[in-house]
Amino acid sequence: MVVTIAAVLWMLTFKPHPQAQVQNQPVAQVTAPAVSPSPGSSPAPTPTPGSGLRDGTYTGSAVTMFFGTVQVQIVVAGGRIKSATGIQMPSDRAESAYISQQAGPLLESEVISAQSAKISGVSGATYTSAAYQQSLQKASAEAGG
Amino acid sequence: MAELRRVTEEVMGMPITLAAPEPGLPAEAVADAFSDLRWVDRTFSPFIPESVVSLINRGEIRVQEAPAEVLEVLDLCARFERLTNGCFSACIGGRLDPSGLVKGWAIDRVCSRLERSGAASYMVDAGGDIAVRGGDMDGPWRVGVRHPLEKDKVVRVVEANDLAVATSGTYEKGDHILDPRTGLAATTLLSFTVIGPDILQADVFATSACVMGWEEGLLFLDNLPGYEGYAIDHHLVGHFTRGFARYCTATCGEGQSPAASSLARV
Repeated sequence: MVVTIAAVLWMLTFKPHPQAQVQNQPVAQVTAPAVSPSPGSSPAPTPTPGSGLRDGTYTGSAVTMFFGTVQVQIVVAGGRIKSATGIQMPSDRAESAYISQQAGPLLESEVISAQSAKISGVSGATYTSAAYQQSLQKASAEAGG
Repeated sequence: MAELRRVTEEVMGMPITLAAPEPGLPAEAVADAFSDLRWVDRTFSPFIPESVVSLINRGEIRVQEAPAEVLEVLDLCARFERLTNGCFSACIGGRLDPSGLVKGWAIDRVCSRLERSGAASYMVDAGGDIAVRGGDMDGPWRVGVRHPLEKDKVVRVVEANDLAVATSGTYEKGDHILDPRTGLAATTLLSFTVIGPDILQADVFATSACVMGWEEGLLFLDNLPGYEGYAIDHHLVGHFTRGFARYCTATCGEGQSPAASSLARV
């Protein structure tokens, strides 16, 4: 599954965060490395000190999702994933090969105060059922319930 | 700028706001909408002992005996579980909890009620999941995407007349999005915002995409016509589907953001 790639990428990306890594260990164990340097990758991958990622182009194994088989390629530069591209996509989705463009760090210039933005609403994660449940349980406990 | 007419009530454990330009929404429609939301809560909340979902969980009624609306929701849950390869599920840890879908479903019902009352322009905001129709007083609706770590800041402003905007994340209450496939917290992203025509789907996809991680999540959304995604990872780096920027105004970074420039090169 693409999850394989995601999980492996995630492990590499977040190596400096051992606590988080431990939490996701079971996923990573199930999904052994699926990302290997592709034969045609540009310069030979070079280790980048301080990050788990080596510069270069990497291709994941082909995986089947609900809409068809996909294969993802990532480009790593400066120890970070610069882009992820679907190099194999279901044929009717050929125009969708491009997945995402990394936006770069959220610079101060991108961040504005909600008050000055002339917006009607703000979309954000507030409550999910689990959060609601936790909060409710805490509230009940405090209430002696 | 004229003010919006807003009505906010606390239902389903979150603030829910209905808003519209002057002269506001018909009072009766607003009352009906909140009354329906309270009914949804009483019926679906796993935390209310008398709810249908609680009755099913305690084995006091069989699923087949549940009201039509409950069967409809459970059917939708099953459909989205298949569509997301199990990244969304109404059954976590052996217990039925369709809350992840019910919120969007409830917003959708409110929208239908408001439409039937003749409202042409309105916003429904249920705890940060937002559906807008028509437009603000001064043009399209403008909806901010919250900065994952700074509560009073937004990192993008999405502009549209008719749109659903839903955000899932791990920042508000700790790691609270569980991966139904492992039972563990999904921790790869700070937040995932999904925009698209339908609030129910946008909401379910935002939660699922948080579980998938940004790579699979964006890939998933890129293959759903009409839906776009914007993920913020633990390094505070934003990743988005290529269509997302079409909805963003230049307000954030005034068009000089790295996002805008890198997209221009694509």
